[in-house]
Amino acid sequence: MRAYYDEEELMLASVATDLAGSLAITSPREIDEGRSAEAWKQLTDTGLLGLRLRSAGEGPEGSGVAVQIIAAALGKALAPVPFLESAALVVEVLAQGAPESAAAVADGRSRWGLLLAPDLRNLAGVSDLAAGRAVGWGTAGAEYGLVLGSNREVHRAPLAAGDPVVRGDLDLTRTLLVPSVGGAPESLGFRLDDEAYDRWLALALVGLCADAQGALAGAIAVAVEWAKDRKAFGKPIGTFQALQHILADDQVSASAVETTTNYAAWAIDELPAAEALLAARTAKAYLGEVGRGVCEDVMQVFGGIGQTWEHVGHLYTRRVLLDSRLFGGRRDQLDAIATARLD
Amino acid sequence: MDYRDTPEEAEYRARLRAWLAEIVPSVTGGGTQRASIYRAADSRLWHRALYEAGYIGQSWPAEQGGGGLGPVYDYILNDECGAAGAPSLPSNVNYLGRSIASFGTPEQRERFLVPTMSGEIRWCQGFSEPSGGSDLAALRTVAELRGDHYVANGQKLWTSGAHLADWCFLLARTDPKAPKHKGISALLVKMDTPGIEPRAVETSDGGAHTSECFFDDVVIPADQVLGDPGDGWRIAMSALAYERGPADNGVLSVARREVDEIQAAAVERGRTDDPDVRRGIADAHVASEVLRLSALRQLTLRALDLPPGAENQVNKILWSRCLQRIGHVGLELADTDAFLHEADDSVGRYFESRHSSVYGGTVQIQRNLLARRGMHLPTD
Repeated sequence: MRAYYDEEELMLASVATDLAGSLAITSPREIDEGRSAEAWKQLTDTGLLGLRLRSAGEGPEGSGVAVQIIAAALGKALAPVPFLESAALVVEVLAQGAPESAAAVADGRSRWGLLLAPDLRNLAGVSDLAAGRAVGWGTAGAEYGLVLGSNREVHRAPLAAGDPVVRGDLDLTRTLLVPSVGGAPESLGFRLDDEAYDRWLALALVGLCADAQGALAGAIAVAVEWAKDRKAFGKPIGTFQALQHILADDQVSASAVETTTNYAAWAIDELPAAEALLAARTAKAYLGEVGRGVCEDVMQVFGGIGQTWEHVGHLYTRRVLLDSRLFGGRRDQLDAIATARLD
Repeated sequence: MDYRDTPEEAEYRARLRAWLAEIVPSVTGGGTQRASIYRAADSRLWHRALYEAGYIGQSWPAEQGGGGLGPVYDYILNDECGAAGAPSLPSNVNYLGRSIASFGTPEQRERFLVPTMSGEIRWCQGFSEPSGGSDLAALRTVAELRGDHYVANGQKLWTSGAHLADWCFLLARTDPKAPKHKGISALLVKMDTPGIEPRAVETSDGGAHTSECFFDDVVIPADQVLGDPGDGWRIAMSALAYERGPADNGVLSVARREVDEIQAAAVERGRTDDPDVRRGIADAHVASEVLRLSALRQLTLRALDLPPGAENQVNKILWSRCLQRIGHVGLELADTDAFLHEADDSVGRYFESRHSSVYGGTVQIQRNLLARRGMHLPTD
């Protein structure tokens, strides 16, 4: 057993950190479409979009842990790039029955996004789309949105080009959109059975936890640097025990988000789907318990400046709020964990 | 990352599981075992059985008389004991034994290690004092060298199990002129030496006990100083590093067992349709998983010989968060039973969980260490 990254994983983390550093956002002023497009191009050039591709009869090229490592690095940098929603989670579905489409997404020839149910707990169904209720995630500039028909038959909805219409911008680095549907959804001729869907959902939960893991680490890191530099009453505020204890507790929580996500990420490819999903729900429930509070603490440590729009603090909070909520918040996960344990 | 047992680990686990299936009913009489890091000292039978099967000191270096297994095996031992509903693993044998193994003379190792592992010698830990609290180095108990022996005077508190212990691992000031941290020595003291008086201290849960211990002109042969005189602080810090590891004390098994017990109680009372009860059980599940996975990472880093960094403090804080969350959930699930004295264990478990943010160094001390050493926040 080894509950820590191996050499290869540490190398990937180092590559991911370098890449994410060049995509980093440090203030709301830096967020614009041009920057997102540039970030997407850089991500495409690295080949990381195709992590979850399968060669015939084999497992994915990159493990769940690799997805965690990339997502965490991007989350830490607040990178405005749809790695999960337009790459990892799309390829994971397409690789099950539409390998050519998966390959096209992986090498950047074709761009997809996810369509979510209006409660943000699930992928949208075809009926959500027909009723105009589907929410687009990663659909800006995408040709297709992924949606499920009855019996989880995988469909693609063609999306029209044009300026994205924002449906929700709680997370400024990853807005949710009104999908501009350009035609009726078409079946891709395969369905996700329970096993495949559970595994996919586990990957989605892990990806979100990893993104938040990164954002929490990033938030704590800027707060610690600030606490070392900022002076009050003639000394650095980081010398005050009141503040040290807040940050120490946050470090404990952030560290535990990482370790629970490590296990869930590993489980995706290594354990039966039900166990992998339980591990992912456990990590997500824990994120829901601690994530928001850590971000609030970081904003508090920054004092007045941490309450301003210009400051980076709320960008971390926004990112973690969205990560915590998509595909079910803490309460949803606890209910599902109880079902797994009791029923 | 690889959470799968290696073939060697899997073989060890299978053997352990089969052994537990046989031994646990014979030592528990089949009843449930409420967690107690104190009560472990009461169970000589269980300790002896663990020793004879090779599970005590299994991860100590072989050249020091241990089993020479990797740190991760301690995780598996916790995991399986928890799953089997076994009694708590003996709590202080691991970290006090390691100190004797690491710092003792060949004669001391010869004299103490095997009897400590077998449970023939049971220890209490004479570190804390009534006047000192968290400021361990301010200890006032003195041991004055007079020729070939020391004479110890003072008072120790939280010497859990002192009334049952055969020996005390005592920290005392042997050089009153030296700086605070330099004048302390670790002495090994036989509990039946004249002048030692242990007294029981009842804890808030009402069931478990800790102790205090008075030393009045207690004569300790000079060859019972562990390591060198003045080395006591270094030895104590080494012991504490292990005292604070959840897998080093059997806490993982306790957490896992408690979640199962809470769930079993809810099932028994027919309360598993209540959404609050269901979420409470899931909540406790999450808390124990967090501790399990974090402790496993700590052991992995130890196995890789990577410096533990903040891991020790992170894990001690998660340990108390976990047990206290389980304590809260248990109390909530028991509902009116807790007030009408019909509950099985929920009140006792709750109060016992409160101890966990104090023993082994308070959560506040852990935060200080984590902030200053792990996160490099400035000091005055």
